Amino acid sequence: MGDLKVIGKRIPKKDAPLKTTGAAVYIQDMKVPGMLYGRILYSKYPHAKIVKIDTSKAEALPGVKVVLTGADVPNNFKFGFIKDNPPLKTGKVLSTRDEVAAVAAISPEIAEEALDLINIEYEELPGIFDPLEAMKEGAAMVHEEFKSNVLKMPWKFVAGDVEAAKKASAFIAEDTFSTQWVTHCCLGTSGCIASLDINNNLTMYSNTQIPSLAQNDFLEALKVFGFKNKRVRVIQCVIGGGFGSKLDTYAYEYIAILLALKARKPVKIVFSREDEFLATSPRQCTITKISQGCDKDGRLTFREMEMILDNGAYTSWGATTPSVMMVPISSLYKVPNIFYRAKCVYTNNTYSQAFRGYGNPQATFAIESNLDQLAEKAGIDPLEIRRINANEPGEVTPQNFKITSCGMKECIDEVVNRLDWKNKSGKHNGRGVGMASLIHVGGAARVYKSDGCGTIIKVDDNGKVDVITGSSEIGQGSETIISQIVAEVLGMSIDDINVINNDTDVCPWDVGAHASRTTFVAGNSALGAAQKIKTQIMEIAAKNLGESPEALEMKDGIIFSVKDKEKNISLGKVLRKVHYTLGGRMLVAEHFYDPPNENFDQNFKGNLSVAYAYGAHGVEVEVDKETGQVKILNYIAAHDVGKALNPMLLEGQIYGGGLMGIGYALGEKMIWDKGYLKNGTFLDYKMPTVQDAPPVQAVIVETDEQAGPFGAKGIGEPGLVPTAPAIANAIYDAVGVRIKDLPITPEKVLAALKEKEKGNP
Amino acid sequence: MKKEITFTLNKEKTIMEVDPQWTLLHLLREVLEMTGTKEGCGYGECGACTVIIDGEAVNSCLYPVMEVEGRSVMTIEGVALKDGSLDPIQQAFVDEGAVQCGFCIPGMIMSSKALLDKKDKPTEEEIKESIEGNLCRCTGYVKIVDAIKSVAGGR
Amino acid sequence: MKDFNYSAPKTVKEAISLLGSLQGEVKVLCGGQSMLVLMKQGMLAPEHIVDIKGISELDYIRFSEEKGLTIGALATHGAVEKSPIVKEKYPVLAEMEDNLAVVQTRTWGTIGGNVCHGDPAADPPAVFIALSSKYKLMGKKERIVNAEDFYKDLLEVDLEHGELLVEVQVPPMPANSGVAQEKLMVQKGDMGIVGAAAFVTVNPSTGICEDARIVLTNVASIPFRAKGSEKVLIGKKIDEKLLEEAGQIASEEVDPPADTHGSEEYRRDMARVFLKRATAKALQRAQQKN
Repeated sequence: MGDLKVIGKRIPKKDAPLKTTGAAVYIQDMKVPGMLYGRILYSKYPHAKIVKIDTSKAEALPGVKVVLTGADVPNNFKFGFIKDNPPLKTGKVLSTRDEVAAVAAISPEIAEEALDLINIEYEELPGIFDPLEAMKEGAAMVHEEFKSNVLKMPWKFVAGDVEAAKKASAFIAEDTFSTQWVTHCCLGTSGCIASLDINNNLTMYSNTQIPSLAQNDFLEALKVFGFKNKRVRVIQCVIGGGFGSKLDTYAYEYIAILLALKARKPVKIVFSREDEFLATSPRQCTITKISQGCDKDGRLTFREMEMILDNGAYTSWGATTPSVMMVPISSLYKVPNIFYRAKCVYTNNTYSQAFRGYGNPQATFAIESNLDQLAEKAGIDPLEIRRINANEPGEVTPQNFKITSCGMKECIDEVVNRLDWKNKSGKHNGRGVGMASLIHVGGAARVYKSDGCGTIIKVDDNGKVDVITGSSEIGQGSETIISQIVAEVLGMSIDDINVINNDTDVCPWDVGAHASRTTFVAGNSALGAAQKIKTQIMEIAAKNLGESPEALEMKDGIIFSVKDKEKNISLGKVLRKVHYTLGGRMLVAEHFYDPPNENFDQNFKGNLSVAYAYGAHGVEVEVDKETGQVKILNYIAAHDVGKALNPMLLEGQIYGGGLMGIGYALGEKMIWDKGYLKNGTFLDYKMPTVQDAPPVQAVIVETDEQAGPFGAKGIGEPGLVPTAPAIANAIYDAVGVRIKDLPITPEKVLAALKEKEKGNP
Repeated sequence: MKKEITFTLNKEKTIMEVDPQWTLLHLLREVLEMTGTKEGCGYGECGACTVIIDGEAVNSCLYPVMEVEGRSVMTIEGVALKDGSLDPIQQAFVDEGAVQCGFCIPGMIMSSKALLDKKDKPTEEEIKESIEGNLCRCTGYVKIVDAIKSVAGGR
Repeated sequence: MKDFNYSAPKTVKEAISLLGSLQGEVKVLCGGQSMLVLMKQGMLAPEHIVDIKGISELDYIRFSEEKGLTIGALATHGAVEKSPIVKEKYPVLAEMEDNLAVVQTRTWGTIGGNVCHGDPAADPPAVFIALSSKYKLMGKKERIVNAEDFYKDLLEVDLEHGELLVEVQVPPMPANSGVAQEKLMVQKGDMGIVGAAAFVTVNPSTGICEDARIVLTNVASIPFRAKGSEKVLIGKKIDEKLLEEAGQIASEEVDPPADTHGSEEYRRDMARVFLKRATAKALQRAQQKN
């Protein structure tokens, strides 16, 4: 790789000046001439029959242009992963986030007022809010037509022989862990503007993380609405946070389209903060029964996990999180025998979706908490049991993951040294240390049939480069990373590289900003395109300079002979030569990168990712035994990232993920009580503030990942994966109580301390 | 019923006809189309709408528009110089990698600027206090605090 | 927000005559950091808003050795927090303000607005009651009420039609006294699951507690005066055992709500803990003065 000029440098984000001056245009800021404002009315009850809807008063309100109910949705259209969700409900509502009516008006205030004038008569039905209840025989059906509340998704993975391994184990630890609903809390709420031209071609201004897939969803919807062979253009505004929340299409988007169709005007729907809490899809809550065993030397013998997920009333991609949960379940540490089964269960609660980590944090909480229990039984230091079983390069895991680069041991060592583990662990004096490790996909994830991303590069007359990428900038810095990669290949400054990444009319196809894949896939795609355009440039320059392309180099926009630097030509001149020559050409290169990873087979085996990301977190806590409050004194987050393309942006992912994980561990919880959200405001939902941010060290452990662009692996999600178990383990080390139900609130810690005093385990 | 108010907005004398029901945020975003000031929650819980009034950071979403009468308001649009060059605090946010999705950033800058305008060399505690009312989901706040620190005391 | 008639008197006199003359639901706007939230949520829709933020004569913090501290209704939380005289003479108020909401709220929210809101979770009423403060009300005639008597029920205070709270009067700190406030926050600046403000005086020669006023927040529909606990402390030398007893009494006497932040049981227990902590700190301060 040699001497890198741009890669590996702490380069500021390209869009930062726009964002620090308030000039960045988010969906909230976007206006289209003539546009109306849409608002959605949600159900008053978690489960009820809709007896009658009277919209006449709302329709009569001056300024109201359209009022829609479920009866206005053409051809029984439904959306979602298994098409079980109509954008506006008819007959029955199944949760309090069910959309029952929508209004488009000339101002948001009038639209809001109109919602109050819609009169709906409901007949309330008893609801099911507990997945365990919903699984019982004779339970009422959330969706009567499905005949079961358990989704027909066979999440099961088996490797080796767990029963035999149990018998052979020297020590076994078994317990049950549960996790809560948490929500993304994007500072910029969800929203869109649907605009149709005279021929019913749709332009959707959106903050989606999946422009190409959303385009397809909207095309399908238009088809069902009766508009075949239409065009859909998705334009992304600057996105005010993603974290997985925008990896699906949602009712509000289809409602905006329906309102726009009827109004014959563009319609904007932007969520209020209350809407955002109520009507976006949280991380799924889980109940996990786990047991793990080891031999007398601490080598893991088996891992058995049964998991129940509350699916809520409808099915989004959240129901597929067990697939990613399998990554740590099958492959975190070397475990030869595995049994895993997960059931997603319909209830009358909110339905879940993707959220940073995609199931991995829930699974890792159970695995890593339980591993400490096992270590205690076996009389082994929690640190040693992790070292003994750590993953290594060259390993093939039970799920057939081919481990290439792996810095897990190095990450554990960083944690141990920086925490002063040896001196601090095992004191049980109110202060304690804990750690947990992680594995996650680090070289994309073949969730869909394709895991690809396209890039087009063109060079203009002035020697500047346009990179047109399918990937999305959601704040993570993909625009900057892609610029760095292209700049490195072409020997240019990143200021001369312009990234275009927000318009499906222009940008190539991509499956979306998910699975920590953008640097890896879009980066490799950009790398391929840059190399192709470089070849073209060198060929033309070589002709002009009378040299062979191999004899040339390119730096700062000048192509020169390595032997004789006087022999040179500027990039702009190369371009002008080809543009202004009869029979000329343009300089454009395209590259589609689809990584050589595999879809799971029917037994959930297959090399899901080209590379795997590793990390270890360690934490020192102090517990107030009178109140149960936990204070984090020191936090170490060590991550194997392959090569750090931009350490500054990378640290931002680790810090941001880490604090999100701390929120998950210690405070955040959406409280759904019998189907009603009880804390849908920032006042009551405790997302961490700067005052909650503990001292944290982001430690970058570099390994060279051959398949990654300049050696890089993904880092978008890992930052929050091991946080909760590391903290839970530290609390145990401090005061001897283990909290198995997230979040670890002071009240729970105190209650556990009191139980311990009474002599109960 | 509309009422007239006179105030200073980003150093310019401004006379507006307003509804007393409006918040200052409504006037800025919806009427004046100055969308640099963000609305993240509407209830004073996230700080995205922070502006500086007479030198102090306030949430413009909970600020009755009538109360700007006679006062001086600075929004994010008034922070950079007219030639487009960034204020040192803005430059620091760029250079230190404090910006991710960016939605909270105008509010963060207004909150920290209100501090820095009053205090050359604030302590870390004062820096954290200045942005305790500004939520950010992307950054974990580390680089935001670093950015403010780097400006404090002229580096 | 629903439409309302807006007026912004410039003097107390003007405000009072206006308040006396208005018919229908009238709300005084005095910073509005809580009230505007309720209005935006549609939970409050007054016909008239009388905005007193422009009455500059009510924006003051004064101190004299005889009268103690007087805080005008319009003094902001930020002004109280940063006031040198407050820091010197009543540091508990500055400490309280540091943990009251966030900077933006403290910048614009006022003491008058806060104490009139009648939120039993709010800190200032509890601390003022512990300090034996009085509120000065202006209406057809002037009225001075004990802060303690001002709170009637959840969000209900002793303000009659046409009346305006103009001043909080905090008496001078007696010799050999100490005061402290502690609350259990999930996040810095939040209302606190439970809070306690404690005032004690200690006889310097005997070490005996001569007076105690302890007020708990967020454990009843109004700021809760822990009289049972006070009784246990007064006349005795306070030690760890006595504190525990006082705390125990408080945990039995309070009537806390259960909500998303804490169960009733936890709040009772924390009433015990925070009563102890605040009282111990107040005691330490009283002794330091000796």
